[in-house]
Amino acid sequence: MADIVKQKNVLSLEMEFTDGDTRTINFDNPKANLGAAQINSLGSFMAENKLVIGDKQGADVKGFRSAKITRGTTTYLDLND
Amino acid sequence: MNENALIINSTDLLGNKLQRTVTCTNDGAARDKMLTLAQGINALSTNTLVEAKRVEKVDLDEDPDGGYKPGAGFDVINLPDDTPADEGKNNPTITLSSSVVAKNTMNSYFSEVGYYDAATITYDGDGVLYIEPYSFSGGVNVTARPTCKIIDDNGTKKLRFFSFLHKAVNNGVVYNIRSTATDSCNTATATFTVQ
Repeated sequence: MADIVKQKNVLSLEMEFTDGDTRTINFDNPKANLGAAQINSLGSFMAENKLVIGDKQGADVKGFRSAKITRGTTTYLDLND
Repeated sequence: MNENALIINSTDLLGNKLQRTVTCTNDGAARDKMLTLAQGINALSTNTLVEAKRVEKVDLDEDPDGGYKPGAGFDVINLPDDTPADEGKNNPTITLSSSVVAKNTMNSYFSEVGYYDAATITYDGDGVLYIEPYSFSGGVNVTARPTCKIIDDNGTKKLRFFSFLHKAVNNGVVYNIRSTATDSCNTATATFTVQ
C-alpha cells in the first residue's frame, strides 16, 4: 500500500457591511474557473435586494470584500513496512 | 436584532450531504430573491443544490411567559421542479437494468432498503447523476431520505443506495434519479420503485 492523499478545497467569501462589520461564508468544492466578475455579481445582487442585513446596527451588506480558496491536502501515511 | 438565517443544503459530486448557513438574512426579502441567492452561492461550487430554507430564530426574551414563541420556524423555499430545457442541447437518457427494489424488514418500526450494486445504470450524457431527496407524509408522518452514491465500476455506473422507510409505508415508493444539466446536455430523469 502507498500513502493516501485526499484534497478538500474551500471557498471563503467575506461579506462587508456598511457599518464595517464582516461575516464570512465558507463553501466546499469551489469551481476551478471562478472569476471576480461572478463573485462581484452575486455581491451586488445581495446588496441591491437587501437580502442580508447586519445584526448590530441594521446595516446593509455592501458586497464581498474578499474571496479566497483554500486548498487543503491531507496525507494518510502508510505505516506498513 | 434580526437573526434570521438562510440554510443551503447541497450534495457534492459523490452524493455526500453538505450544509452552509448565511446568517442575518432579511425576513422581508421576497422568496424568489432568497432562492436566487441560494442558487447563486451554490453556483460558485460544483455542488448540487438540494434545498434552501429560511429559518427564523426564536427570541425567548420577547415572550412574557418565558415559553416557546409560536409562529416561528422553518420557511422552506421550494426549488424549481426542472431546469428549463435548452434547445440545441443533447437530451441524454438514464436507463436502469432493474426498476423495482425489494425492502427488508429491519425491526418493528422501520424497513431497511438496501440496494447495493443491484442495478446498473446506463447514461449517455456528461452530467452528474444523483437521487432526489424523498419525503413522505401520509398520515404516519414519515421522512425517508436516501443516502446514495453512483459509482463507476470499470466504466459501468452502478447505484449504491440505502434508506429507511417507516413500516407503515407498504405501497411502492418512487425515487427519482436525475442528471445535472451541462453546457451540452439537458437534465435527464429515471425512476425506480421500492416495494
